[in-house]
Amino acid sequence: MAYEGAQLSIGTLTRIGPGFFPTALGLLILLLGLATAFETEDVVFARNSVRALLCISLAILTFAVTVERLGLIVATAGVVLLTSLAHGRPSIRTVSAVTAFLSVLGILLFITMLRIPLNPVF
Amino acid sequence: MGLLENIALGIETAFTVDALLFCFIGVSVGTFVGALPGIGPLVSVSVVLPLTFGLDPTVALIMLAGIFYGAQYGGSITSILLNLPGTASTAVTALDGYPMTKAGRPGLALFINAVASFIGGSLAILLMMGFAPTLSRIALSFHSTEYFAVMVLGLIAASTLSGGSTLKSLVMVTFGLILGLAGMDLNSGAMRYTFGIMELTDGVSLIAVAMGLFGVAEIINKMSVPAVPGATDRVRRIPLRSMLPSRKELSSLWAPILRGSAIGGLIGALPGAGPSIASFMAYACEKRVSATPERFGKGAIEGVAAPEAANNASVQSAFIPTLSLGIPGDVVMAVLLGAMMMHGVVPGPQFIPNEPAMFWGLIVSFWIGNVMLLILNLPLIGIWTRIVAIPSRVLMPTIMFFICMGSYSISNNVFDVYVTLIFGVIGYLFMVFRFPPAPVLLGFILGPLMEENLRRSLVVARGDPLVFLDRPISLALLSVSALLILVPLVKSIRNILAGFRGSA
Repeated sequence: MAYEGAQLSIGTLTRIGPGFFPTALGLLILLLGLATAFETEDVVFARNSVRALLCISLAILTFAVTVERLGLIVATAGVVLLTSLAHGRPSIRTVSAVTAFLSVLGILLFITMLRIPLNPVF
Repeated sequence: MGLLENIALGIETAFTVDALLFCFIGVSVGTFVGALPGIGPLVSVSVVLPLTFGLDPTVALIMLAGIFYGAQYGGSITSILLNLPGTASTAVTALDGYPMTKAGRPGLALFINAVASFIGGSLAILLMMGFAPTLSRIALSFHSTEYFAVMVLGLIAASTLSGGSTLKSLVMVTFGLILGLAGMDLNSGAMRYTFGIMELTDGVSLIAVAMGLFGVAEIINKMSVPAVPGATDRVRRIPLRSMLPSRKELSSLWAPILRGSAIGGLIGALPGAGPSIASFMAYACEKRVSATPERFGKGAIEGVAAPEAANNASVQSAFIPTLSLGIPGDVVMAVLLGAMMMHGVVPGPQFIPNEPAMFWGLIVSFWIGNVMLLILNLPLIGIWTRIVAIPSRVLMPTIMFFICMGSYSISNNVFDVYVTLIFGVIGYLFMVFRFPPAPVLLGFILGPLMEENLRRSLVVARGDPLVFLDRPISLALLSVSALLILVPLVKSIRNILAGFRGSA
C-alpha cells in the first residue's frame, strides 16, 4: 500500500541555503514512498476503528477547544465522556466518578503544583 | 584519575540523602509510569522536568534517569501479565511472557524479568565505567563530518535492524527529518514549513508529536477492537514458590542474559538506536541461536530473559553517547540532554573532564537505582499488578486526560494539543499501514543536527562533498551504513531472480 501523503513539493531557495535539505529530503521521501508501493502487505482495519478514531479525535478536540474557555473540569468531563464512548456504552456512574477523580487530581497536580495557568471553572 | 578514585568520587556524590531519596522517587515513578500503557518514560520525564528546577542538577538527573530505566522495568510487567506493552521496547517481552502467564507461571516470568534486567543494567554500567572516558577522548577528534556520518549510520541502523520493512522505516525516518526542519532556519532566518502559523516558528514540539504518534495512536488502536469483557481481570496473588526457576531453567538462562546484555549495551551506545531495537535484536538473536526455535512465542524463558537484559542494558549505555558526545542515544536521552542544558551543564567531550563528580555520581546512582528496582519490585509484584488491572473503562480516559494535559502544559498553549491530535490520527494510520512510528522521532531529533553538521562540513571543506569519504572515520561509518542497506538489498534481488528462474 503506497503512502501517498508524503508529497512535499516545497523547494524554497535552492542553494546550499535553507532550501537544500528540505528539497533533498522531499525528493528522497518521494522516491522511498514510491518504492514502498511495491511492498504489498495486508492492511487490517479492526472492526471498531472508525468509531474509535472519531471518538478519540473528538475527545482531544473538545479538550483543546474548551480547556481555556470553559475550564479544566468541563474539558476533563469532555475527554472522559468521549473516550468512553469509543468503546461500548459508558455508564453514567463510571464517567462521573472518573471525571470527578481526574478533575481533583488534575487541579491538585497541574494547577496547584505545576502552576499551569488554567481555571478549574470558567 | 584512576578508575577506583573515580568510583569513590561517584559513591560520595550518590550516597547523599538527597540523591538517594530522589533516586528512589525516580525509579518508583518510572516503574509505575512504565507499567501504564500510553504513558511512557518520555512523557513522564517531560512532565517531571519542570519540577526539577529547584534541585541540584546532579540530583535532578539522577531522578530523571531513574524514571527512564525504571520505566523499562515497569513496561515489562504489563507486557507479561496483560499483553499490553507499557513501553515500545517491552513489546518483545510480551511475545513469550504473556504465554507464560496464560500457562499459569506469571511469577516466573516476572522474576526472570527482574533478574535479567538487573544483570543487563549492571553489565552495561560496567561498560560505561570502562569506556565512557575513552569514548570521550575519541569524541574530541570528531568533527562535524564524523558527526554527520555517525548520525547517518544511526538512522540507517535504526531502520534496517528493527523488525519489519526497512523501506518503510526509511520513509519514516525521512518524514521525521522533514518534520524536524519545520520552523525558522537559524542560519538564514527563512521560515520553513510554517504555513504562516506563528506557533510553528520554533518548530513542532517533540513531546506533542511523541504523545500523538505513540500515546494517542496506541489508544485508538486499543479501542478499535470491540470490548472483550473479562479479558483483563485474571491477576490474582502470585505465590512465591512459582516465581523461582528450576535448576535446569536457571542454567539455560545464563547465555541469553549475557547475549542480551551485550547486544543491548552495544546498540544503546549507538546514537539513534535505543531499547526497542535492542530488545528486538536480542530476541531475534536468541531465536536464531536456539536449538529449538519452535518454543519461541509459546513461553520460552529465553524469550523473556534476553530482551529484558537487552533493554535495560541499552538504557544504561544510551548514556554513553549522550554524556560523552552530546548526541542523544535515544529520544528520552534527548529530553535529558535538554534538562542538563537547562541546568547549565553542557554534555559533550568537555563534560567528563569538567564535571567528574556529576558523571561518576550518575553512574554510581544508576547502579543504586538498579538495586533499588530489584529489591522494590520482587515483593511488590503482586501489588503493582493489581493497580495495573484497572479496567480499561477507567484507564483509557485517564490516560487520555494525561495526554491532553501533558501536551497543553508544554507551552500552555492549545496549539500543541492540536498537534498531538493530528499526529495521533496520523500515527494510527501509520499503525494500520504498518509503518513503524519510532523512526520518525529519531529523524525529528537528528534532523536539525544533521543539517547543521552537513552545512558546517561543507563550509570547512569549501563545498567539496568528497570530504565525507576523505576522512577515515567518516568513511568507515558511511561504509557500514551502505553495507547495512546493500546487503539485504542484494539478497532480495537474488531472491527475486531465483524466483524468476524457478518459474521459467
